Amino acid sequence: MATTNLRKAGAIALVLASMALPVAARAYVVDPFWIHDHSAAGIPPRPSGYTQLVQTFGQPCSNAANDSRSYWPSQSARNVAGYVYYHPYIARDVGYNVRNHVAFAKKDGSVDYLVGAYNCRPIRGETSWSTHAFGAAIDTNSARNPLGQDHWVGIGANGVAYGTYLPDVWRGADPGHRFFWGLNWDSRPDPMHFQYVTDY
Amino acid sequence: MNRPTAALGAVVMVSALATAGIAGLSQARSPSSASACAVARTRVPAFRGPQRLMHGGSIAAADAGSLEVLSAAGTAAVLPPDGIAGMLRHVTTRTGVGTAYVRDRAGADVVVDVTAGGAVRRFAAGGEATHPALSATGDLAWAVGGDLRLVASGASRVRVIRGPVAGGLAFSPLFRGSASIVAAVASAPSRRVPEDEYLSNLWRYSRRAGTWMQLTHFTAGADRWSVVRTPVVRPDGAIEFVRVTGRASADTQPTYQLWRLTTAGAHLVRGLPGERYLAGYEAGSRMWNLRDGSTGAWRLAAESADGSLRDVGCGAVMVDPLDRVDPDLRPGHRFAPLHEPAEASPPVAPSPVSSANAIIVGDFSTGSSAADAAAQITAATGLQAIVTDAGHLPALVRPGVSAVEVLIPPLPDPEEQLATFRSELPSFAGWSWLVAV
Repeated sequence: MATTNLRKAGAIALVLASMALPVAARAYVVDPFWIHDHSAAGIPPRPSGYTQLVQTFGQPCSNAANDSRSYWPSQSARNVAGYVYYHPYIARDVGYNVRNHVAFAKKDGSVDYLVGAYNCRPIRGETSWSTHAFGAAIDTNSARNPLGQDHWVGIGANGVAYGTYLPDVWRGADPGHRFFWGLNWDSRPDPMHFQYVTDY
Repeated sequence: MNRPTAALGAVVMVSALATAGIAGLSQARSPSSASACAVARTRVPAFRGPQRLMHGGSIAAADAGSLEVLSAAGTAAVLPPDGIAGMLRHVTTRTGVGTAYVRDRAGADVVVDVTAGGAVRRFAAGGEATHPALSATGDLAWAVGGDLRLVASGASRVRVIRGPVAGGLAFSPLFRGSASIVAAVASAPSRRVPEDEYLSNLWRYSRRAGTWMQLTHFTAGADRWSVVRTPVVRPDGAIEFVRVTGRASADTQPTYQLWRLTTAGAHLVRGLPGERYLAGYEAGSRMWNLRDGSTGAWRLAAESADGSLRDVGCGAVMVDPLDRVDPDLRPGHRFAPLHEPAEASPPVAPSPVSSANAIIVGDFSTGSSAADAAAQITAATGLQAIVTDAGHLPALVRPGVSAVEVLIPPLPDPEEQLATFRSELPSFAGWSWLVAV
């Protein structure tokens, strides 16, 4: 609550200050009030299996599955930012922790297109629904990391090699990260894919 | 379209039921022990179970480690006679021909064929195998990746039939007479749809000419998608299938339709009330697989002449089991180390929880329009609403626009608060999201 109050007070002051800034100067700034203490506060548990998936995220393609959003660089094309939509269950993980983590480290350039989350679709050839249809998964840097590729290519939109920086943020062991990485599917590697559920 | 076929070496492993097969089965555990099926079933003595598979039937399904065989006498649970570990997935049966199914394993699968002659043939599938099919004469086909695999009746050689679409995915093959195989083929991933499916159609492969011909011509794009699922052969020889359409970006349920393919082409039979997939025909009745939304178990239902459904059993015929974990989706470390936390994740709460603590409303092109909205929100809800932008919330707001941040009380269900907010302020319903700030 203290953080919230600080944010509110600061927000009022910064509304006035920011009005004078040109748009370009505000692009990809760091959230001035972001505090990432790696605590478990506000971090919901990661479900496992179909039953827990629907208990926490609801049915696929539901109203709630795209009720949260955050703003990501290279979302729709290289260096073209845009909103990514997902389930509010992972609002703190994606929009607060991971997104701010990348911005705070000044590594927005590590993100490359396509970045996407909610997607009401079936898995190819199956009657099962994609975790994207639940709003429970994010694809990032998909152009360089297609389904079936057995390694991660960490070259960002700015051409710099970041190694596994991005996957390590998404799958980090601290609360607020802990996404399951699709490259850990041994027989069906999916390096672009990070989901907040296991065994599905 | 005309791509060459190839042959694999013989990978079949055959055992005779008359010898080791039956002896091993008599020691088996109860096949129904882990099933959630509420429909009464006949317990088949272990030594008679394989005979049910040899004789075949009209419908067989996978359910919790056993094969459910439907016949006029009722539903019988039969323990698979293959002795192979792996999840049962995709079952086909044919009266007088036998029964075939997939043993889904981490990595390459095994296709099992229980023949009318009593042989249990195990084929290394060559990858992730789906949807085995049996012809009237005992030929066996299944799909792997973009291709089909074909084993002639009594033969042990597995032929590869290259699929018709480069980078595509073939699935659900069906024998149409002895001369052709009909299969569904999904388009290759695209830049806009890098995974999952946006388009599939039915194709026919001529065994004589070795050529493919497209039978349905559904179209789709990056957002609007159209897929075909669970084609089955009707008693009159026509093929019926389920077509599912939807919009990837929309939070509305997809549309389900029943279609029929005849020599005159494909036509819509009728819309369907919800998610369901064809399971085949039993005594002239159309059979459906319906998903239990909470457990993922599959029910089997028979359609009456008036269109109503009657539960007849449980199990997945050509649909994918959801109440057990796909072995290919277990965590591994072949390509990357696992980064799992040292302590176990806390158990999932029985009711939904969310980490969101604010509603963001926007985008507004100017700060003044956002301020007007903030005043309107406070007046309608009593909640504090703050004009914000990317300078304050760069992770949540696009640069160059304004938004309104509405802090919500720490109640257990933010989704309910968003629903209330949207009902009180319908003009912002399409422009409001739950966020964590």
